[in-house]
Amino acid sequence: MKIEIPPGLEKYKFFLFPIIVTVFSVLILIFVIIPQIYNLFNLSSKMDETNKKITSLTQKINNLNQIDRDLYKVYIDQMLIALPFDKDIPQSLSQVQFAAASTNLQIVGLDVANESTAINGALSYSIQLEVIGTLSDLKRFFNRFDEAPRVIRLAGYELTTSKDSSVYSGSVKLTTFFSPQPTTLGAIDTPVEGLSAADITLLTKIEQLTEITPIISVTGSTTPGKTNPFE
Amino acid sequence: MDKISINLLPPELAQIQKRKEYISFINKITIVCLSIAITVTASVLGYSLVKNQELEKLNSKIANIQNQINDLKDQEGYLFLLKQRLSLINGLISLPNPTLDGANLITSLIPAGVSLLSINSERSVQIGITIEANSTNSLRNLLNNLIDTNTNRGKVTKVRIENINKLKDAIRVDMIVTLK
Repeated sequence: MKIEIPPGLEKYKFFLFPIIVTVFSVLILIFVIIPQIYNLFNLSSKMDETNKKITSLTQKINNLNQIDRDLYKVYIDQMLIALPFDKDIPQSLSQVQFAAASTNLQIVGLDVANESTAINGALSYSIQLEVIGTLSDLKRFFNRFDEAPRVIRLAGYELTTSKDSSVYSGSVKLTTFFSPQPTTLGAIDTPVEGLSAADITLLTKIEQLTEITPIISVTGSTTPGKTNPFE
Repeated sequence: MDKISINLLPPELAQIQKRKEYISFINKITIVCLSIAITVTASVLGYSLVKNQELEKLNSKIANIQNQINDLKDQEGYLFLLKQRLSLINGLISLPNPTLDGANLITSLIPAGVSLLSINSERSVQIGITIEANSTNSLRNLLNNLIDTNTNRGKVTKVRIENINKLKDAIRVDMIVTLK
């Protein structure tokens, strides 16, 4: 079939091929080359991210392979003495009693609050003690909790004495901490870091404190909560 | 002897020849452009395909690594829990405790001749104390200790005397000490 070119356009017939090619090239440029180049940039950045992720995950595998499960179980047991999953009131009271006994302070009454308050990411409850002791005993008692494996802090006190007596009586308020088990224990893509020097120092400190302080827990063992928290 | 060249062709033919050369040149350029466009497109598409395949390989590698991490889930749980507890414990023991600091400071600043009759504080930087001094000198010593930055280690910001009672053989003072 022969295409009839209108007489007025006869002189332009030689430019038809270049025009069609130009239009074709421009269309290829707009609809293929530019989107593909853009796609290549995206692919490149995705590959960079993926490579970084592979490095991070490989590092994570290396870190996880270095973990001695038995040793970490012991560490976790110690951490759960310092900061148990639940209130574990008997354990905290045993430590208060031990602190009082080792500082010659007499506890004549105590009250454990039911309410829990959130402090710095953990939960806490109060233990109110009625105590009798000398100022020196009281000071030693107040500072004794720095050496207790369980995280217990002095929250308040109201102490009085008479002029001729060296014995003070009154109330002492302590705050005891606990923190429920986290709902998730890490995610696959989350990088993990091993224990830092500061972590090891804290672990060692708590380990030493656990050894010198008798622990009584609701579970009857040194480990409150589940034996294996991941089950 | 110089050669003489004479063009005997009609001028119209020369014009037609020139036009043909021009069209041929345009066509050559067009073909080159078309070739370039096709080559670039093919290269870009090919490169894109190769990169896509590489990305797929990397993704399958990630899936493989993730499976390996899944096998180490217990270790990850132990480490996560341990780090979480350590972080919480560290945060709690690093919290300032003005109640304890105040008790330690005030009791260390009581000079001879002054009896501390009562002391109270409730999670606050304010400590209420009642003292009994057997002389004005003892009371002065106490106040000096409380307000002097050398003795109070810069921890006391305010001392407010609430009440002074002159007793038979002593001076009783109620005061509130505010710590930093």
